[in-house]
Amino acid sequence: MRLPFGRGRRSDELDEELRSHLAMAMRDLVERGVPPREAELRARREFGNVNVVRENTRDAWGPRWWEEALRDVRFGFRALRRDPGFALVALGSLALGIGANTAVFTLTDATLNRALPFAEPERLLTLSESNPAKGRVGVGASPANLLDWKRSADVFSSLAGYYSRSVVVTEAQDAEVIIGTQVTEGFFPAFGVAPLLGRVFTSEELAAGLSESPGSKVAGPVVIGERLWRRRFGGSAEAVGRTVSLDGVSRLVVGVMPASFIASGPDVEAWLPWDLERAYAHLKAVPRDSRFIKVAGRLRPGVTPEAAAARMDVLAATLAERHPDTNKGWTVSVAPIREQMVGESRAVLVALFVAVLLVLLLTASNVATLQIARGFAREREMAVRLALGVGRGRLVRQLLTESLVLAVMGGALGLLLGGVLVRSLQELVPKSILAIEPLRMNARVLLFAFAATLLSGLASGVLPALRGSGEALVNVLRSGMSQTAPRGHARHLLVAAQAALALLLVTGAFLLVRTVLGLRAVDPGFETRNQLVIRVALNTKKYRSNEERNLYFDALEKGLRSQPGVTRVGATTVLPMSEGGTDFNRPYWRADRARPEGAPVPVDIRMITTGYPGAMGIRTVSGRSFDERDAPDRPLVVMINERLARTTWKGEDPVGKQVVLDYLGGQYPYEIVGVLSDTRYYGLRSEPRPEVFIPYRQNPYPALFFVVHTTVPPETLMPAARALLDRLDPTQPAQLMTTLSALTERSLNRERLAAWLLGVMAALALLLCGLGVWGLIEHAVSQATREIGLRMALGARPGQAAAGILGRAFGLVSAGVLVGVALAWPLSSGLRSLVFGISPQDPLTLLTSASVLLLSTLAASLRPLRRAVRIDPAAALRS
Amino acid sequence: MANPTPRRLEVLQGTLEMLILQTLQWGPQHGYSIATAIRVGSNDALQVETGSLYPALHRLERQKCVKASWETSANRQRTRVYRLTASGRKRLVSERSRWEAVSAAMSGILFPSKQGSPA
Repeated sequence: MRLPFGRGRRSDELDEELRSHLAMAMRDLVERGVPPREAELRARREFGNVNVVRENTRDAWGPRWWEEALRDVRFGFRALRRDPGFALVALGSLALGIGANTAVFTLTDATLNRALPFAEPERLLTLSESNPAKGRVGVGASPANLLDWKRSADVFSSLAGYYSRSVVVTEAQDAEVIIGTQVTEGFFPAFGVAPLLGRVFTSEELAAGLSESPGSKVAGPVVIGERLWRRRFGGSAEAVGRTVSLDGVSRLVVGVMPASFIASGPDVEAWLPWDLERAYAHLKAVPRDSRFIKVAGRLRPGVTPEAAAARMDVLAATLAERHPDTNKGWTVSVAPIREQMVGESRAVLVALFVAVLLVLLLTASNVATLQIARGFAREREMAVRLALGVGRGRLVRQLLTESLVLAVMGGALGLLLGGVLVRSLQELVPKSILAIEPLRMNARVLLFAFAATLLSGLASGVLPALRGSGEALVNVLRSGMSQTAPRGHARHLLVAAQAALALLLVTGAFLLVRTVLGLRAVDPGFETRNQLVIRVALNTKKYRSNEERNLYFDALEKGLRSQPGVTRVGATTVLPMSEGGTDFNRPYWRADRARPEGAPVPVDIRMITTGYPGAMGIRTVSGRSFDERDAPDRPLVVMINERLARTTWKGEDPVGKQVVLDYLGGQYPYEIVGVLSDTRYYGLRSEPRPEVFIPYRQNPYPALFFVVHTTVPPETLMPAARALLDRLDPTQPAQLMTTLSALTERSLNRERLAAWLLGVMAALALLLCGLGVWGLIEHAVSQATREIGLRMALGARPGQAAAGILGRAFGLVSAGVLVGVALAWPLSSGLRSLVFGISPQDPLTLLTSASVLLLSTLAASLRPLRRAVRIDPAAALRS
Repeated sequence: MANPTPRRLEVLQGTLEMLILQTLQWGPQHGYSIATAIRVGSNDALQVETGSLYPALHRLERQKCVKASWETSANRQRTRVYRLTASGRKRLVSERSRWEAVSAAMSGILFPSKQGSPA
């Protein structure tokens, strides 16, 4: 085929050259006296057929590079069609490798590299307080500290605190619970995102805060989220200026933020003004030691994050000096906003990305092995072409083109597969990791897929191409036999490399599977079977008095208990494994000792009902549990957990002793009536912390988690529970209704995801590696058929030759495994933050992985070895 | 003018390129003058067909043995002029020595009396 374009100019030049030749020949004849007319005829005759000359000359130009490339591409396709088995396996593994890579890259890219939806995100910082000595790192700021920061941190143009909580929307009949964020002055300017509609808060509105202006029907403004706006106002522009009832209070909608505004979390649908001083006006002072406010600040132009960190260090030191009781040992950490947005998931994502790159390498080396194997079959073809004078460079280019054809086809398939995988990742990945949705492939992902494709094409093609075009091939023609000595090296190296890569992936998968199993085996300190969990937060504006609240909660408890299949019902302010509870962390000390100097150690305080330990399956270790005696008018009592008993009453029985709590605006002694067994609150990884339990009756609280212990599957109770809540008060829907086992499982999300994905990749790696080994042995057996036949004819037992081949394969895989182990040592340290209960360099895990690899080698070699054992010496020698 | 029916010899396969290179040794020339030079140089014995000359010239150009450029001759005829390159010069040397070896060997076989006998 000849493509017409590109050669036009050259053809014109050739025509001109031939014309000039004719003209000169004619002039010569004319000069020698031939009449012009005859001269022309003679010149033409001597010249010959112009078209033939033109054609022959053009042929001498040789093909253009793209013509050659096109020819190579077509040749590559033909070669693939001739060998469908090879094409299928190679395309399959390339598609899997590139597909998995594309999917995981999409995930990591979306989470780690995405553009944050804020103005100049690099100038946005988050601020948190830390006190490593107390084991509290990166916690929120306390209200009083935040106020001091806002007053003196001149490095920020805006500095704002925000705190998210659930809010009940009660419009018409369908009440729902949404997440709302209370924001201080500076919040919207700090993030710098314009509202979709309307405006953000004015400084007057912020100063008015949450307080209700008496006599006014509207309690204050609210900025709502796009989703709430569409749901409640049908996306109407007239929503601004209307009111929405939040927690039973009418609020004026002043603006609508776009759904992409995820500053305080992806699911926040309302922002409420918050003036700290006014909010705490009922207390003697704004609290300084309850740290819960998230803080974000926008750097002033020209101020570096380091300068801001230095400024905050000085500020923290000043505050610690001025308020040693609450601030001694506390520092302020400053971090780019991206870190908070990515958070814990970084470790998972990085591990996944490394794993998936290993899979890609494995894929490429697998295809290279296949190519080399195919090269053996094509030696004669290559040798003939070399002998015919095709340059070696030309041959290399052709073989590389073939690899690229393969890779591009595999890449296209991989991209399709990646699209499918991305969709399932979307389902699989918990929201806590994937902060953004929907997951989409973007230009960067396509670029990555393209690079991965090209890379695997080149990586899988270079070695076979250099080998396949070697000078030694000429010998093939001479001897009629395949070339011998150096042939296997590249392939052996590749199989060993595959074993090393597979070992890394298998080890990673094992580590994570053992982590998940280990975490599941951890005793959380409570039963996780058959418990329904319901959280209800009463609207304190509607349920003003403790009597009203108790009336509601009593009715709820009674209603729940009367459901068929329910055995025990209890309630608490803070439930293990769940967020949303209000955690009180207050100073305490033994009543028989003086108050410690400086800042006393705080303890976690929870209110529980008498039924709570029973419903949770938390044991009373000593003393008694709460009962009817612990009424509001009776002496103040508490229970403590084992951890507190052990740390504060070492070797003594705390029951009957007294503890002082600096709580509820005073320092009162409480009598310890019993000790409860320890529970893990903050996930299965966390250690139990010292706890104090107060009987709910003696300190009522408007928001409770109800725990319903059942003899039937707890999910089956949900409709009845919802109906019950609706009957009691339709404006008080459950904020949360789930099972305790679901909550506990959720705390394993991160590890489970990583274990799943790495497990799949490890299986893929084993498959690919097995394929490589299989091909190697298969080839070795067919090469050695005659030799084996000869040996058997000379009296060798059939197994001996096969054992030799198997031994060599095992030697290779073992070498690869050793390299893999050496690599796993440093690499698995990257999993440190994920792995639980075992060391990332756990020898047993490494040993298991190595065994799995060797076993899979054995499995892969069974079929070809059986062939070797069954070789008929007579037939083999005759062949 | 030469014999109206001259006894023309076909240029031997593979030697045309050597002859072209040899001709260009004395300076750049265009296709027509190369053909003329070979014919005249061989006393009209060797006739170069245009259908062989131009493919050979363009092949040599592709192999970078010659370099071509357009020039305008004295009588304002635009012509494509070829000149020898360094690698063309090298090729000429090696082809010439090969030809020498081959022709000496051929003569030894075809005309044994002329060889080895004392002069």
